[in-house]
Amino acid sequence: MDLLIAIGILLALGLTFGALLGYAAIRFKLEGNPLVDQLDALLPQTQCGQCQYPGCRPYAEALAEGDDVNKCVPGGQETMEQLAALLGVEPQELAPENEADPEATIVLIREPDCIGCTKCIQACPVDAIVGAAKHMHTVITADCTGCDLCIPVCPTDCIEIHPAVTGFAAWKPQKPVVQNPEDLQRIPIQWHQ
Amino acid sequence: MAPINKTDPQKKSQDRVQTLFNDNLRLYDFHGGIHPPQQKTPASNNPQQTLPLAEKLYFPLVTEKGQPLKATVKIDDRVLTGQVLAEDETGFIPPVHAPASGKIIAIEHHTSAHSSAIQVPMLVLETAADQQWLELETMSIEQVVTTKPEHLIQKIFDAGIVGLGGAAFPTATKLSSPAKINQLILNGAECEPYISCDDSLMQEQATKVLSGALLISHCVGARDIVIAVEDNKPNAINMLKEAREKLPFEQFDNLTSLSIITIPTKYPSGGEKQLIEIITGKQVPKGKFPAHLGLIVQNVATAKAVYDALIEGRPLIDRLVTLTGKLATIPSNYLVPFGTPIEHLLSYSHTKIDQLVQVIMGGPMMGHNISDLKTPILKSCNCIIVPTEDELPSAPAALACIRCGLCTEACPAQLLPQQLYWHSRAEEWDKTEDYNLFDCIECGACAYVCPSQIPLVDYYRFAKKAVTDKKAEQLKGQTARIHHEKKLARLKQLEDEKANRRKQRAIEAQKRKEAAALAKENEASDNEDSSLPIDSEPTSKQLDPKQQAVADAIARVKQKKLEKAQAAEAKASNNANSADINKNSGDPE
Amino acid sequence: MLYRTPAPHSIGGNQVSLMMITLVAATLPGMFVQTYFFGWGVLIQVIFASFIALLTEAAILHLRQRPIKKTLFDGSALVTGWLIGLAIPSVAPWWLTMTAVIFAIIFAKHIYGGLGYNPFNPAMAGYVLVLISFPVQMTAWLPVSALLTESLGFIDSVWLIFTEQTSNGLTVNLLRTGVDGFTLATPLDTLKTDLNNGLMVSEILNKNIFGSFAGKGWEYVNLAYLIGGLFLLYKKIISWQIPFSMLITLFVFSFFFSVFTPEQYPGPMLHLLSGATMMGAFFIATDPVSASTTPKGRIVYGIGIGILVYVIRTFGGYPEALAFAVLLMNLSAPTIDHFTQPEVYGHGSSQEKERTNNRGNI
Repeated sequence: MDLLIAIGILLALGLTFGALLGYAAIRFKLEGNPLVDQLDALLPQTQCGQCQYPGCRPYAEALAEGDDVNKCVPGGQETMEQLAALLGVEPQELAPENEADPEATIVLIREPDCIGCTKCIQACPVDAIVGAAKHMHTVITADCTGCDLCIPVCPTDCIEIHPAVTGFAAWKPQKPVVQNPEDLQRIPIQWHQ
Repeated sequence: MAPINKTDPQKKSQDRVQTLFNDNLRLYDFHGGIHPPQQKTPASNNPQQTLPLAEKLYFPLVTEKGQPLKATVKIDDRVLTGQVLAEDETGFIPPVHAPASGKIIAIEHHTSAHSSAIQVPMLVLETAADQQWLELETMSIEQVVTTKPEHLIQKIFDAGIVGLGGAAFPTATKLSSPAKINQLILNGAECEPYISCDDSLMQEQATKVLSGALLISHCVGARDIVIAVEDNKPNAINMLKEAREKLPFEQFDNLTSLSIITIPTKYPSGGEKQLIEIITGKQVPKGKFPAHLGLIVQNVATAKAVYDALIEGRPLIDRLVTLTGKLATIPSNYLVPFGTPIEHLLSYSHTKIDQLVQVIMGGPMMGHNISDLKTPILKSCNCIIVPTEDELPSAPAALACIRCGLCTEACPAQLLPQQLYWHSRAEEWDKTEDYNLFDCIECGACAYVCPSQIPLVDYYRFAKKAVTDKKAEQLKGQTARIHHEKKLARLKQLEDEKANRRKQRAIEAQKRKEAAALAKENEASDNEDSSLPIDSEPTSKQLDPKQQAVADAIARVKQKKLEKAQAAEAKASNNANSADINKNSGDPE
Repeated sequence: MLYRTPAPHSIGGNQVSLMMITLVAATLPGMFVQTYFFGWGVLIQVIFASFIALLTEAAILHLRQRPIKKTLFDGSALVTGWLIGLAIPSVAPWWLTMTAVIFAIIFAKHIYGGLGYNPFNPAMAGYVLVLISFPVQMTAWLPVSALLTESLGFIDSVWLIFTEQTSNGLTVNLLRTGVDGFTLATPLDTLKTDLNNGLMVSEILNKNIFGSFAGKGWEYVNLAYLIGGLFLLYKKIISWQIPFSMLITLFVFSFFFSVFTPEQYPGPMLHLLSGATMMGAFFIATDPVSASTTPKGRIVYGIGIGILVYVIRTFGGYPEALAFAVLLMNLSAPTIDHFTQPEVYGHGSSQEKERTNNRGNI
């Protein structure tokens, strides 16, 4: 009898939790591939194509399939490390020319030189260039990701790279450095009277 | 003062005045705080001085927060005192006025007062020998109290008034809060060591300060005014109380109290949030403004500036600046016209410039070093400190944090500075936000008490900027992704449409063929109706000839259009859709 | 030359080294009373342990290529050695002290990255190592000098510590033998053994090693540490939360147990004034690096130590429990900190609370 009760209880438990799990699987089903979404969220979304994929999401998909994590040029070292951490793979070395932490840039059209060919408009992956055929084009700087895809297609070379932020906003407070304990916490100022 | 124009007997108004003076409010305390040595003397004891005009005045065309200003004068323009020199096109920053008459001689790059010491474009005003004011529009108190608050607030904006406590937030914006304001708190705490400009102002111009407070209370509809002064300024308190006796209260019927209260000296009691907690015992909820609690806090110097602007019509063109520190030969409070280079103040006061070690703009706790003595003194500058090496010694190199918790005890925002430090140092940004990095007011109390001399505030500034940048980057990334996805979707749609059209044409061509074949057949079998349209429908047989002709024409036009489109497509297959893209690329996100 | 310095430009006078020296100074009353009751051994141990601590610290700093001068004089190594010297039996052999100190400095402190990074109180880690490894020597406390059959001078103490014999050949065990031929243990040890043997508390407390409130000598030592601790509180070197919550917890537990079964559980006086209670509460549990750092967390931390001290003393295998209690709570400190974060300005529900009792003119 005891044996039967034990079996019965276990059976009931098994059924209950099985039903719960089954319900949860339907109720909380994840749409799409969450890994790709997470990878995509880590990528800088410049859509520059320097990874040889047509945009950030295709690279995220390729990463989920096991591609190398060191292909994102604008993301630099930091993104590579984050991707490696998320995928649980060893960080890989960046190509030497990509190692420097890239400064955020945007492009600007030297407007007098623009002939209105619309080539850059088609090249822009994020619709950050406006203009009509045979009319001057201009860059919506707030939307420009600095992917530079418009530069090679321009027939008159009138697109220039500029830093994305300038002035006070571009200034970053220095991280305090661990100094030699004999030093004082002060920095001499270059100043000409 | 203005005559009493009420029918009430004088006795009654006397009684009212007595009930207004309610100075025994219950005070609260705020968490933490420190008691650094005051160092307010000798600057606070010396009489105010007026700094003569410098030869050249400098006005940056960028605010310290980075907003660009547009110059309203051109090079070689002659300007009068009080004339607008620059304004903000977005209408947020109040205009900048000329503190002196003279000539605009250049727009040049000079070092800004910002911690970055970046060079920014500045208007250079060469002051003239003869000074002439613009014509000023004065008002009496009666006129002011009968004017709509909106007009007054606009006047305050036009007078260029910003908070003179140091943050330089536009006063008009603060005053035009939609929330109902009950209480005006006038901040005369001046809790930071060394600074004594507010003290000096309250001592010498108490009536103007109080009248300004009355005017502000009228603008915002506040019924209570509390003036809070730290107990280390007894003279200022006495002068305020004396001046209060003679105020024109009969003009301000709605006022129910005007309290002048003494608060204990403790840094940072002059912080807006801390002062509110001292006076009301309430904390301003995160992300809300004091107006949420029905409060508005103004600095005493701002109140005086409001008085000048409304009553005398005088824009904000100068302020009291404390010059102090052991290298200052004549430490005192100077009335400095804006745009004056620090160098001019130092040389006028015979400061030993060759011995300078550091120059601090602002107080010793929250101020920052300036790197160029040509930096102009602007609205937010309340103090210039020129200390000797020993007076404010540089901290020795930081030791390891021993987790003693003194910083936690000192933090007025009730944060855990030590945890913030660990995470800022390790660049664990989400952790810094878990510990509420952005509630830090950078008062420096934690770094002051730190036995390891860790530059905590520097770590927080570094972390704040990094987190802000990171967030902006993420936001930009998200926008870019959405734009990219939209573009892909649009290209796909265009592609689909093209394919559809192609399909459609194929079908139509097929139909025409069939119709032609049918027509031929019909012609062969029955020669009567030669004008049968190619794409004839069964109903067309019943149409009268006129309608039939119209239908024919339409059909022909359609045909032609199709051909034309086909031709165009063939001609420029590469960039065929450019026109469509142009039309769509501007679609707002 | 103009300089730029970090804000705030004004710095307060707090210094790690100053805090450490004040801490050491605050132990002086306790140390002198301890020396008065237990002989010169106490002083010799403290000086020897501090010397070894500084020496080890210097050697490790040299190996780690850290600036020796600055770090050595932050005083942390001195405090570690000093506290071990005070905690160890006054006649313990020199190698025991040395082992404890070297372990404390190397393994409890520098292995983790030096001052500020050690999760455990180094002094207690060193103490526990030798307590577990050499229980005989570590429980060989001499009774108060007054109960000794032989008096022990300064020279003899030195001999005893460094050769394990006095000049005339007495060993620690011989010295510990009382007039009645039994070995005298510490009051807490005696209490534990006798309770296990079925004696009642009242009978035990009549023995001559107990004084007016607690163990003879120990009661005054504890009072002296209490005075030193209050001085630290006054100087704001330590905060009140840890010592007070710990002592109050210990008081509450011992009070209730002794009220209900007074014959089995001694009262609060004995617990508060015996063994290392006061020294632990003010000088050991308050070690900032390894303790909890939030105000509320410190209270929880102190309560935890209080409970553990009582439980281990009463039900555990060791008569003295402070070192274990402190180490166990060191382990919990990060978790306690995580769950006891203070309410940040403007975040709490206190706004609503305040609104209900706000003043009439708002």
